[in-house]
Amino acid sequence: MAIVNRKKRANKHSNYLEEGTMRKGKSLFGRSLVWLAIFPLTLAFNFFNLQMPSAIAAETITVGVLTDLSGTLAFPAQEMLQGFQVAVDEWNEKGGIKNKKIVIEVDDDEGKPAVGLRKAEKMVLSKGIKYIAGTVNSAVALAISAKAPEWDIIYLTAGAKAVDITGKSWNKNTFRRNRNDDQDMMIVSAWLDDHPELKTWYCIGADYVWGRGNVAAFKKIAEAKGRTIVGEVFPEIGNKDYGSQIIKIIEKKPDAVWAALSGAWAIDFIKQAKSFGLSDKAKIAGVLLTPESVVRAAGPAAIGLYGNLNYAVDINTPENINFKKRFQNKFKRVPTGFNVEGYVAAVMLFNGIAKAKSEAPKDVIQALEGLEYSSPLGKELVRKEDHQVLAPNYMGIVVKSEKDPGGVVTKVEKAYSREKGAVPLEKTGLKR
Amino acid sequence: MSIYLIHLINGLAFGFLLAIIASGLALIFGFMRIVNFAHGAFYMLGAYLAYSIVKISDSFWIALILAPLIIAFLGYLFHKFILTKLSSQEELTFVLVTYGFALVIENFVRMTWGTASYSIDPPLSLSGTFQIFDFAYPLYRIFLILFVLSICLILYWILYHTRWGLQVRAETEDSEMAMALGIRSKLLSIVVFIVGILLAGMAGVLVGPYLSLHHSMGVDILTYAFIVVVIAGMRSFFGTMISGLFVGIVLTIGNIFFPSLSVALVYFIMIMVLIVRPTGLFVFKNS
Repeated sequence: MAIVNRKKRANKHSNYLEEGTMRKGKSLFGRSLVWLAIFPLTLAFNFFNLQMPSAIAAETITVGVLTDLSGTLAFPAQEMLQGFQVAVDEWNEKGGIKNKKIVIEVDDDEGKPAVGLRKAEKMVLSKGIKYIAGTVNSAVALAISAKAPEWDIIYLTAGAKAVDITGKSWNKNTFRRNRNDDQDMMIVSAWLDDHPELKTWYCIGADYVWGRGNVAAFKKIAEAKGRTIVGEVFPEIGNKDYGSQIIKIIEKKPDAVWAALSGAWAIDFIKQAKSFGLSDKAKIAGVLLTPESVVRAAGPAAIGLYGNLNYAVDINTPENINFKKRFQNKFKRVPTGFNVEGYVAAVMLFNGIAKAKSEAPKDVIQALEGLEYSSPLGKELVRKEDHQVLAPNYMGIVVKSEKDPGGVVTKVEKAYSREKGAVPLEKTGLKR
Repeated sequence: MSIYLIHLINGLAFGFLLAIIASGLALIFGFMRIVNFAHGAFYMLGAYLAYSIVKISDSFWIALILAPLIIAFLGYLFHKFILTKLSSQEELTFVLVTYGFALVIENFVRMTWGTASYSIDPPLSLSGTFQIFDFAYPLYRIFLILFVLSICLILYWILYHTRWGLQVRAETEDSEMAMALGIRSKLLSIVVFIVGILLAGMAGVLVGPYLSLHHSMGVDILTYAFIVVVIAGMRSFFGTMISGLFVGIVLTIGNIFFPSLSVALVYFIMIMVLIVRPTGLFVFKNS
């Protein structure tokens, strides 16, 4: 019985083996069939995929918008993107560029040069994008700009202020629409002439490249105008409590304070300056003290502040009236300076592509150089030599808002022509 | 001389803020052995909630009561539905979970309030100045110092002069013995966690009129809070308060005389403490 059972088990086993072999054989064949089927399907899919973008691309012009959507400059970057979108909608309503619809491909550089480079490379090499715009972070802008000639793209910044981008790091593929630090300081120089009563100054700047550089630039301008710098202090980057610095400033009794601070640091300084009574004792001015985002957060503490104003809502040009209307329809609020940066960057680029012989970057470069176009600020010019846009600029002063009780707004104190804000080429550090 | 006094008071203002945040962190670790990486995020959420409550009610005082309670309730939910489920897990799991929850809160704040910075105005009664020698000193900062000092004293009294506080300290020093003696650590654990989170939320409300609100404020303060706790010793509530004041003063004074080195100095002090006395300056062998 045991032997029979063993034999039965053996037979069963060998049957399994046979079956297994047969199954194996069948499954090998089956798997081969599957692969044979997949292979042509894959080919067809890829062929279709490759054809589709080209087919779509033939009907559209794609612009890559790569900016800091989640990092420290996320707020201005997102505002810039909104303005860009308004321009895209406006141009598409009018038929696009050369009857081709404008499409934007948005991505986040996280405010990090390495990430920005990787994402820009993906846009260029994987998606064939020829125009990338929108960077607000100077470090990212410098990194991508350096690759623009190699990738043969048009690279347009829309907020990055570092002078080097169109100065010593210039290349023929890079353009800048926003005003740079030196241009803002040219306006400050003119503004100082209008305020001879501000004789003594104390400077405060965040302890990093921009903060120290901006204070150094201001000191040079102020001393050339016969003003006296009574002291300077550079709190460490990221500092939030300016109480001790403010006490030092009050001790020196200056007529005015130059503050090279931005964003949340500017808000902290403005509020604390008010709480210590500094803003009642001295005028406070700074390049980045008066953007709408800073002023809105600082509130009534910001009243009386002076600052560069790259845009003012009440500028009375037909383009600004049109832009404000479109923006308010889309986003249900009044536009800010960063919104305009994005809008005008798009307008500049689209005008360049429209004017060019073809969409090839070399032809668009040629079209952009020396291009004059209308923007909400007035007539702007793309300077041929350094690809830096020259545009009207303003100094603003923060006042109580008439429309919003308890609120504040930055009004234009004085407008300056684009020529007034133009930095002579020999002073830009330009290397061609 | 008077200017140095003002610098010292400024240091105390920031120091007390650090002290109250770090105290919550130390309480939670001391009792539950959890390094709560979400502590900074609760602080940030408290600040943003306070901003919205002030906007709606026009009252800072309502925000000071309501926002910490809401944050404490969120802390209770987090403890009940997440932390208690992980009670048998390793410490690293808690680190990862609390860090993950911090990211959730940060993204929630970003989605709800956006990426713009905000600030809260101090209440009218505290928006003036107080004369200290030749300088007008903001009333709100004096209120901040006194208010946080009161909270710290109340907590100190509870921990060192009440039965409940005795049980918390017993559990902190020797949890097995405490359990053997019948101390109900589960209930205490919930209460301690809620109090710790409430302190973070309260700090968030208090910071609104003092510093601006921005979406990385939780991370910024958490770094300093950890430094404070490491210097003091993770289980020393009293030591955390003292250490918070010390770090606040070093940062403030350092920022005046050697700004590039002020933060480095604080880290240097922390490293020296870790080398010379790893348990912290205020944790003793018998405790």
